[in-house]
Amino acid sequence: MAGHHLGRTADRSNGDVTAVERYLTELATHLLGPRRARTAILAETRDGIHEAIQRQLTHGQRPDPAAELAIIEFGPPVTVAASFADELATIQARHTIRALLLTGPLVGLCWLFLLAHPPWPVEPLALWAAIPILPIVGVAVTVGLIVLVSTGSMTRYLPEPPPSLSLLGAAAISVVCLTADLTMLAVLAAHLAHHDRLALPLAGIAAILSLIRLAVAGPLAARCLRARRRLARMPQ
Amino acid sequence: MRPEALKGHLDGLLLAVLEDGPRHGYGVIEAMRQDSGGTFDLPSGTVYPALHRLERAGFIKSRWSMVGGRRRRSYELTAAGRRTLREERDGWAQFSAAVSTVLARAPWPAIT
Repeated sequence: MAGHHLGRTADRSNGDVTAVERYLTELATHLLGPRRARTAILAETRDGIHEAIQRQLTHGQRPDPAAELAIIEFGPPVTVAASFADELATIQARHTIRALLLTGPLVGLCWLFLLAHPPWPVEPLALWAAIPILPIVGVAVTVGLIVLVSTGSMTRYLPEPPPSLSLLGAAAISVVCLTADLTMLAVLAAHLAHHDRLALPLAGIAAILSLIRLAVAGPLAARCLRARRRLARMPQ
Repeated sequence: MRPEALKGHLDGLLLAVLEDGPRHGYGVIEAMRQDSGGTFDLPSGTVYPALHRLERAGFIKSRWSMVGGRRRRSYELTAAGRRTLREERDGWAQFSAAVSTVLARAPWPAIT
């Protein structure tokens, strides 16, 4: 009899677990953003629901109704996902901008060494002539830093921009990277066509780095713009 | 009570609930419910994103651990969070006293 009771309890426990995992599976389909952030949200929600079940059991509920009540307490998956939409959008924008700002100097320095030999020109016009995309890169870096600062720890002092604006900034910076890389590859092609003296190994490295970033920046921009469109459609 | 009624005060309440020590997200929800006598029964969709926002701002920090085979994220106040909590308390004391005075149509300070 005791074994039968334990068997029934085990079945109900499995039912609880199945109900929770079904809920989390559905929640996962509605969460949109970087994978690590989504995984963290699911892990935290799983823990919270199990604590809610435990609370119901402590109040005398049976396991199956306890799981149902805990899931009802947390709310429909689509509603819960909508509540995380802004946060995931901001994380998406921050990840994109950080990745581009961190790789930018590496790519930029390769082109600088290749096309503007030391001693580098200090006059702005001469530097601009050597690296035509410098002004637009400067604007992109400024926008990126503003978004990172205003969505990080400085939110305690500064108003946080709407997530859709942060995503737009991230997409714009990705497009600037695309433009910059395409421009520098075109400049390199022009130099090679004129048989200008260039350090070919460095030219190869610079070209490869730009091609890699082209392959990455395009999808990053598309991902940010898609996230922005989905954010606009999310129920508030 | 509707979550939107807490607009502007939720951050302070969350910081206060964490004052005595680390709690996980559902623990914060339960503490709010118990401490308010059931008045603040907030949905997870309100509390969890607010906790993540407070962490991004540097007022709280989180730590992952394993409990019962599950990953658990616990939150605790930072030094900046404790300072902000003191400011929230001072601000609320002044605000609530002023509101009480006006509502009671009594001279400042309100004498009940």
